[in-house]
Amino acid sequence: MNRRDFIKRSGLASTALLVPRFLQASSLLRADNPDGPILVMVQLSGGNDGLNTVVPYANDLYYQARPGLALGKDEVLILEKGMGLHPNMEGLHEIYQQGWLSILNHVGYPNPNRSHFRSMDIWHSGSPSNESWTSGWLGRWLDAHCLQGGTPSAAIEVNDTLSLAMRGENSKGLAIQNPNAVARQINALVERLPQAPEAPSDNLNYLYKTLAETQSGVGYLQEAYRLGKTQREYPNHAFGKHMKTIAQLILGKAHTRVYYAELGGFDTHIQQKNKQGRLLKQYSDAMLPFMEEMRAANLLDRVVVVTFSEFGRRVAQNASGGTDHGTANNLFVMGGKLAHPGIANEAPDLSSLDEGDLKYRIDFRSVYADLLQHCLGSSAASVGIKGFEPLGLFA
Amino acid sequence: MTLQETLHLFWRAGFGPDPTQVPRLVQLTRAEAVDLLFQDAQDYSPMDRAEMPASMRWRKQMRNNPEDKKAVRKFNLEQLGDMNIQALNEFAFSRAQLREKMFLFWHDHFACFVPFAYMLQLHINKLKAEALGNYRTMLHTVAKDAAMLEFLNNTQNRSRNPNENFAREVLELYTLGIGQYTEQDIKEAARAFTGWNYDDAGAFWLVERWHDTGTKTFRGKSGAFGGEDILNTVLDDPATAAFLAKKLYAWFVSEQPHTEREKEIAEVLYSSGYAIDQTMRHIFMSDWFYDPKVMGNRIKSPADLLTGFRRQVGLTFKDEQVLFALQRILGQTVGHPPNVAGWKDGRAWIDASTLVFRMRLGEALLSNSDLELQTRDLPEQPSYGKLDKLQTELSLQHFYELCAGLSDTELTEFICGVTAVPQNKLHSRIRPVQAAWPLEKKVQHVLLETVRSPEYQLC
Repeated sequence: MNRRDFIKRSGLASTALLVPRFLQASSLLRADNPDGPILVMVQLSGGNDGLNTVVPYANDLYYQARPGLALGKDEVLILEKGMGLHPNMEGLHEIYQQGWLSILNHVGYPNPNRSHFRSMDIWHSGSPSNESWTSGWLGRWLDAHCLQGGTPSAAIEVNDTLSLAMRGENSKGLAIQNPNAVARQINALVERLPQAPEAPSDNLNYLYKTLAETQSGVGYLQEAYRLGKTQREYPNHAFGKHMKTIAQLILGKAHTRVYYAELGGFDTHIQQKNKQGRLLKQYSDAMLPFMEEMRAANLLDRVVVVTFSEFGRRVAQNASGGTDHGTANNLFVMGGKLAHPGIANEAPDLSSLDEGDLKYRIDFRSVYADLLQHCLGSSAASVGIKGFEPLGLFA
Repeated sequence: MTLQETLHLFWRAGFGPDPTQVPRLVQLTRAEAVDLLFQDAQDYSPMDRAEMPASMRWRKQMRNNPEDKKAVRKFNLEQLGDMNIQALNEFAFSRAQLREKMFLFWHDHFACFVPFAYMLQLHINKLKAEALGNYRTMLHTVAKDAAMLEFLNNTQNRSRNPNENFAREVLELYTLGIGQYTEQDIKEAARAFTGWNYDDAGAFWLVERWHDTGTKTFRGKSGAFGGEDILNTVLDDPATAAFLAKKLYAWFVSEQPHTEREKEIAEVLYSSGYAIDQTMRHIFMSDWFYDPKVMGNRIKSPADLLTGFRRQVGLTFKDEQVLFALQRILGQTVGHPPNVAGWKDGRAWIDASTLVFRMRLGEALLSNSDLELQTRDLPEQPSYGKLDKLQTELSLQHFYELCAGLSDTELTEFICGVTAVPQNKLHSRIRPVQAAWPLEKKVQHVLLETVRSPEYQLC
């Protein structure tokens, strides 16, 4: 059964409205900004140790705090300002050399929370640390700029479940790992739906409508996924595949404006060295083909990739060859139109700590303000984040 | 009661009726059915999977012995996992359906999580014990509960350096509700709660030297108030009853607010001195509770969906740990609310991916088939291992017995009727059974058609 039949058969009270509204919404996004920017958020979950990712190799305090974990000058891939990348991040180093990477140090927020759970919620919702907001900043962007409830493909998370960041009050992004697999699943469900109810309750109507919209959105993505042909080799791990999926959708000209991907496992309380090294390699190895792919397709000026983690780690190592939960951290912005390629601000200040943790100097919400303005044609205030101005990250 | 009213009552006041009992339950009057729910609610089991540790001062212990940190965490995670499974099994199999459902409500209301199993177990058992008791008692008990004091940072609330988190949540989430108090109220209340802490055994402990004994001015009254005075002041305010009534209405009746009905609930709550049982009885006995617009128009929470299904088909999991992954994907892990505000309810349960998963789940459980269950790796949450295969055993014997001798139409109507909300004549819209099929196949077919319908997502 095709979608038209399904909608006809499902007898939605709002059928007449539904179809045009959905198509309208997606065309609205396209018409609005046919070659508009695309934001790719990459989340390193578990609290990535930023100090062993972008290493302050010229700072003695770093070696004093981490006698067993510190990386030496001869090991790191040299950047600038006395800093260098973890030796496993050759891909990222190449991106840096091309001028496609801005590294921001000291990114965090006031009264930091050291629980993964809470700190992740703070990053996702954009709330102050003493408030719990129940919707995400990108979800509220969908609320503000996409027609209510529609366009589930405007924001895609390549994952099994949808993160808080992608949940608005009314609209939500779509979590999808493989468009073909999801399309098969949903088509099989729709094929075997019961005949339409005559007078559905409002929530039953909502369920049928969500299903119809999902089928339509997934069908659309499946088409883009089929058309998008990647030319680069991506590493064969889950994160590599997820970045390849995003590249494929972008190359297939999906109208999606926000993509979200995650690499987990950074909670390195014990034996950090090997574990973090392996994860950073996975990350870096997937980012290089992605960025090169965007360059080859002349998309570097449109695509912005941001990488963050819910917090950094304590400056001093612990007794188990690892590090404990910390606060401020570095954050990466990649793209072809950066105002400050390289290390955008000062190296982490290891001399002035707050109970052993770095002090934040850049609030992550001002980074969001930049992204909302530059990539999403919006502003921090219109997604309920008040009092933060863009930093001017983009040229 | 009609079949629809019966299902409605047992879904809202529990996790759906046992299908074999439905023919008996429809014979009852409304008052008899409500009495039965309250009577059965007496027969419940407290949670007992966590072991009492040598000391409840986990945090201190972890700080002092970084080497033990991993062991402490592992010890707790395993027990938290066992507790989660016990909670879900009680939902599914306890006779005390009303108490279990009320517990889930209070667990959502007093949303609290600490990674210390025994402490959380004490908290949960307090909620279960008082679930149908008195809200005044419950609030005082929960406010002096170790898990709550820990979760809301009141252990750091000291006279010289007050931490307002606990006071704020008491006013915002448990009593008056947002907009009904000032920032000054919070500051003064926080002073009254200074020094509220817990001892090594997890019992309430007022640390005198951290307690601010000075005069506080709270909502127009001045005195050397302690935390108890603050709680009593806000409980004496009808705004607390109004706030709780709204929450009860939204949870047990409808997401669509209804001013008059909420006011009615608030009056019962307030005039009864916060008697929860009387208030709930009033709700379940009201005609408006059986308003056709209300019945069958609530989106099942993940706990409702999983539990209701288990109750209907006598489902057992070869390895119950698969429940962790299922809850995670569905978006509700019992014992671990997402934040202080609890779970977002109703339509918030549904996004494109969860809806597809929910609709495929019933079929996968019935047919013992694969479902992708690899879940993301989340630190500090009970992740309890990963399982990607559903291995289930069903017992559908009760349906075969109940359906023996029924015509195909009767069989279809019966199974659809007792498993899904009997609205919209689902039984007449699914693909029909074929006369030549054996009974077992007919039963399985109708069940399958029902559990994968959008209608099955409602209760």
